[in-house]
Amino acid sequence: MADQKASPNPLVTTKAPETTLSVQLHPLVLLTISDYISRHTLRQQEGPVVGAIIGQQNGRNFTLEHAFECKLAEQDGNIVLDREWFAERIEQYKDVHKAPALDLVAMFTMAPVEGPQGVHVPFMRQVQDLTSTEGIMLLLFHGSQVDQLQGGKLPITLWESVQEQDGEMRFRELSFEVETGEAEMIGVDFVAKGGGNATAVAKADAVPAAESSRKDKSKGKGKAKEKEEEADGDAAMGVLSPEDEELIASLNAKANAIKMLNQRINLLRSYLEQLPESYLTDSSTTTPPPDTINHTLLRSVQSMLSRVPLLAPPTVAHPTATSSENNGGLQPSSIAQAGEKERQDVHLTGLLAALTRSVSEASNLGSRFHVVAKERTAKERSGFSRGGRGLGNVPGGVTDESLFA
Amino acid sequence: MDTQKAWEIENAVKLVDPTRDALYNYNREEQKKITDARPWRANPNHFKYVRISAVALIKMTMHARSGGDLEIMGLMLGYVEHETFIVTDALRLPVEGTETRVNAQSEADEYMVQYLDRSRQAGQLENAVGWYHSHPGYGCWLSGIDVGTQHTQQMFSDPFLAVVIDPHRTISAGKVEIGAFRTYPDGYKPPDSGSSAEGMAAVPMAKAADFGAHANRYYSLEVSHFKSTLDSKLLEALWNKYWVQTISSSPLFTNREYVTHQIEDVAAKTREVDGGVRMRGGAMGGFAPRAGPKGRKSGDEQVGKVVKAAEKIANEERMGLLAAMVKEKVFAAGVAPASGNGSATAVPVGGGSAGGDTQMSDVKA
Ligand SMILES: [Zn+2]
Repeated sequence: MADQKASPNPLVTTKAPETTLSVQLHPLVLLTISDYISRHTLRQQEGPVVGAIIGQQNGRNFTLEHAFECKLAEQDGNIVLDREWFAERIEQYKDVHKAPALDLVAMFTMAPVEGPQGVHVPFMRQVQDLTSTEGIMLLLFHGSQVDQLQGGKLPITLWESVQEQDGEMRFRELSFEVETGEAEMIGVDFVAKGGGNATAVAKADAVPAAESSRKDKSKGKGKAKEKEEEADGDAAMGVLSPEDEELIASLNAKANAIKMLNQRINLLRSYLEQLPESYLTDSSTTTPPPDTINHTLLRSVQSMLSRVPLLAPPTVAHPTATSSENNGGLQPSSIAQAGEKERQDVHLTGLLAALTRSVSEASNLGSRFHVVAKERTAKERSGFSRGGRGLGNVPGGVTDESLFA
Repeated sequence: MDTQKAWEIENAVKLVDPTRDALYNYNREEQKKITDARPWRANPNHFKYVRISAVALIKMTMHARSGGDLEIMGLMLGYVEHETFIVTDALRLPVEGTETRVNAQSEADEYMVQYLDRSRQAGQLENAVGWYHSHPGYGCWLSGIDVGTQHTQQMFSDPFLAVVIDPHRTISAGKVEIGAFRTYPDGYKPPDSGSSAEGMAAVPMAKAADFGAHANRYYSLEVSHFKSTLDSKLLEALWNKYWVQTISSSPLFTNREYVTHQIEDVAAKTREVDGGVRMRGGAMGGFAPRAGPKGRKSGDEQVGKVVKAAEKIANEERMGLLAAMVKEKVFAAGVAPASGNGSATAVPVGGGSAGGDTQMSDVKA
């Protein structure tokens, strides 16, 4: 993620760390910062955008999970945190994030792409002083990068502070991964999909845009009527049922993800293709590989390739297929069996749902039939009452008294 | 002021669009005027819409999920504009198991007051415009206790809104299951005194009585969400990071327990409906109920609910299976081309569309 600029930032150290931190950033942190920036700017609020990030710490593993804005104060000409305010605020957040327990892990602010600035030094010193830990990181949001985001690059950098031997504070850039919890991902996905922007609400019936959650609005309507309306709507505009919409949305997301996977694989392939021949497997090449080769990358490609077959255990139970194969795997693997069972369960629920509907429809038909038949008998009775006893020649024997008894 | 400038080298003005991001603004005087005029006093149905910011929605969803089977509770900050609540942020309250305790909210009062005080000091001027809580696995509606809480809030701190999130259903449906509600004043009878229940087919047996008893005392508002221009750009970049999870998730596996519960519930409801039919149909049973039209209608309604609940399960399961199939096709297809499941993979599509067909023909019948 490092942006190499022409003039190096004197506050940045490129010295390799003794141990590497593993940092996982949650999207909520990024969106909270974004929300804060939008509010702060539109409301023309005073002062810089500064906030805190809480997360878990487990040895050298950190998560950045929630963020909040901070009240600032001035001290000896420096902008620092309002001590009292901050102490109370952090307790308030710890009170409601107990399992897992979250604590302060980083501060955030906006800064140029060059990295930490001089003003950040006294600020970070105060934070270290307040928390009596040196491990608080600094997350910088680079507004100028927002309009040139490519290939999933985020407009942020993360820094750890380093105490140099000369007593000065320097910053070392950290790499991080984006991590989402299950509910978080659904939430992020949900807001990402809807096209709703934040234009002001107009007077009267400004119907919120298409992303509104589909609530069944049919209150106390007759079932039949409701269905007719639905059918009319479907016919007129080709509207899909909410279930179908959902299905399509989930398939679309999958399609996009597969496209992305494909892109990544192609990227890897083109990288591998432009590498020189291996001198290990090809004895004719005598030149050792250039230093630029990324061995870590190659090793992880190798290990991924060796794991691919595990994804598809030999499911071969097909008689024709097995006869030509020599692995003798006549029995489907347990994973395949489990998968098959799962499949059957799903179909079973589908069948049961269809059956339930059929029963309901049949019952409906029965009730309607009953009404019609009743009416008809009533008519016939009144008709026959003039001409004597009826013959009971209604088709299907619906006059069978026992039905109405 | 030099330090001030040094902090603000990075200018944020370009990042917002005053028109598209207007909801992120806040006008204290305007809000005061609205609160003084109280247009909602004149019309019990005054508020019709809720717009929730991206952060508020994600915070509430995550909070609800973090509680697991326990109900959690929090507050929403924001303001009102015409007939709409604008929710800009959400905060957690340190209480759990709210559904069973009438005074759960008052326990959090002190926390709430201090939190909001600190927020204001940091420049977040919005007032509390509502509370949210979770209904793990039993759908979005207001229970008797909820109606009481909301009713009190509307009397003393209106404009106020109640939001309910079902974290379990959120996970199983893959989208945020959320509802927003306001109660009617005492003695007010909604025009269509029918149940606001109709759409809520999936309230479990154990909660059905509670649901039915209070369904006429509140109404639901239409929920939508909003995000800023900057959010949109970041979300796009973020998707490039979390797309892996889109393929790798296994909803069939993760939701197994939840689905089993749902099936149990449908089974219990089916038994109940069956009992009802037998009672009404007498010894002859079957489809010629002897009861008057009223009894039959409620019977049909109940059957309808069972059908809806069953189809909901089937649909969610089908989506789960599709996810598994996609994964299998992508990762296993090349490795084991002639697998014995060749036929099986064809079935789900057929089965799926068959389910769809029945639905379609029903609708058109
Ligand atoms: Zn509740």
